[in-house]
Amino acid sequence: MTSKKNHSSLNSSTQSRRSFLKAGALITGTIIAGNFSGSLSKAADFINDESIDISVVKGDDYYRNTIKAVDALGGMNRFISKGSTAGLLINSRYNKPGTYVKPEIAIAALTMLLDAGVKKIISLERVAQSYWQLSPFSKKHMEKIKEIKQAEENFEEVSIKGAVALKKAEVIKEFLECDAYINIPIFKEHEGIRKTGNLKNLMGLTSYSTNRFFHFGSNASDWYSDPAFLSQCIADVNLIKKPSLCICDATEYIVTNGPFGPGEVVKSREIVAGVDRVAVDAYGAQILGYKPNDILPIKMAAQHGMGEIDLKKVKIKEIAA
Amino acid sequence: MKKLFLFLQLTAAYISAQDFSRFLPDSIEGWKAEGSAAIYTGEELYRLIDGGADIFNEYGFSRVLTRSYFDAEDRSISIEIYGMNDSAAAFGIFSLITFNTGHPIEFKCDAYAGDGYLLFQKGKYYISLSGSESTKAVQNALIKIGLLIEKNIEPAGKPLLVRKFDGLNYSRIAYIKGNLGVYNVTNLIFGKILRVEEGICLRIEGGMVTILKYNSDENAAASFVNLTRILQNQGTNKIIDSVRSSELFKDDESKYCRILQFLKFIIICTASDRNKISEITERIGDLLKR
Repeated sequence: MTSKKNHSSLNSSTQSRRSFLKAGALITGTIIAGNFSGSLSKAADFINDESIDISVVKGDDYYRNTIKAVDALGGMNRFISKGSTAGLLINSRYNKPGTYVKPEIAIAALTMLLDAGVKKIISLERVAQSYWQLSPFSKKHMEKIKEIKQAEENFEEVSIKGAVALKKAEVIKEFLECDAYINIPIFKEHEGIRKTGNLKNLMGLTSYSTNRFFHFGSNASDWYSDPAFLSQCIADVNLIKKPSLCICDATEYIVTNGPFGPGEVVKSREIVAGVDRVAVDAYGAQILGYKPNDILPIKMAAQHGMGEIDLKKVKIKEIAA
Repeated sequence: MKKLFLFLQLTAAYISAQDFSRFLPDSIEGWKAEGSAAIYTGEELYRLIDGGADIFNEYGFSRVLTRSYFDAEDRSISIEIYGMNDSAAAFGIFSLITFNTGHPIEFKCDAYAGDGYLLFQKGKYYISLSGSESTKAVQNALIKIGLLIEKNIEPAGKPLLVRKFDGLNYSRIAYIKGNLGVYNVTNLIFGKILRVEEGICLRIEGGMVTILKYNSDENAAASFVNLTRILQNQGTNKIIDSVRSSELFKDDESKYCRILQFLKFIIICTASDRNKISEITERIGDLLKR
């Protein structure tokens, strides 16, 4: 089921308070990148926590550390309004070690949303019951998990203003309709584009025919023979709607045989949170040993002006677990 | 007559599904299944592994049986039994996945294990077992359960192209059935290449060898021109030796790469020792002649 609609206005729907804070953060970040980082960093902390672009919490308690990472950015209420409909985009499709977001992280996001007083929580991509069973931790939180509504697999065709390669796409209807969405990917190796994170996660919301266009729209002979076109489509689809918050799993992830694994697992035990999806993915690229500019979707999203790729201009705060 | 044919087909499919499901009973080694086993066939594979389905299809995917098991402490083990079209396809997908991951273990057939998983291949099946944690208890359970599955499967031989290299000293081998496989195992070729019929990647001491087989000598020759052009255009490589159908490159990190065409084959050998490259390409040429 598809219908045509232009959703280019969705990108300008972010709260003005947040835009103001973001602008402030960028100025602070730019100054911090200079020679005065020590004293100004302390000054920035004193002003408010919302000046942080990326928070990183390292440790073994993934549930608590997720909450700490979001609190460091100002808490969930900063990103989601009471009574709103929130979308969750959890990378939950695979079940091999290091290929899926730890259920503890998704449950922490869910808990924070419920505490923030949202009206409705929709899982934008289908999350199977077997996903929650990957962690015994889920059992204690089944009542909360039941609060999540699954999006119907109804797609709506949208025109994408400013797109270079993907001028229109069929995306899950609830993605367009929700008031805000939280992107919850895992940083891991991904065939063809080397690394997946926030930007790539949006391919979980597009129809099969749109996904085929990502791979073959340039008349490529194989699924990954035109990584530049695929990456451009990934950057373009992200123009449809900004996430209100990105919470990324860098706890245990594969560095070979991505995305499905099994592969060589690296355990960094980090939760990474931020609003700027380009900056957060650039940070993720570094974790996986890449320069952010070497990951084409990140580079192309930065060229769209979606966020900051230069991590020297980003204020990153590591918080003790 | 048509109805009878349809009935026989459905009966065969039912028996076949029953037969397939016997691999995963309701409980194994004290681990209990929750829910029934699921079978995905054809395009349904995209629902199970989405971004990973294409490579299975390149090899020749038939169906997959999956089931999850739990122990008294709520730890879980997920099992996937991939039925491929033939044993070459099963060996191919298994060799590709284990080319970059896991370590070989003592088992009844070729098997690799890593943190919380066990992979093995036998006959036309590729089997993956993964645990919710990588503790010794779970790892031991994976092996015990894996052995129970293994004994129900008939063995079969490896692809002919793989058998050609039986006497060669290598640590890993990947059998390739298409270009997606080439992109998966080698970083060397990252551009548009001509469609390969089959191929081999070998990890050798201090380097790697890729052998691509085309459907004709002419296509192999065209691929040779294309690949050498890709390497030249990378900017970091210099040609230091060139004879007919063979070029030796040196990159800015002093690593060597020889590309040569031999009948329907392209051989690409990378190593930091130039003499090693000459020695190995000569040996591979001899093995391919057989």
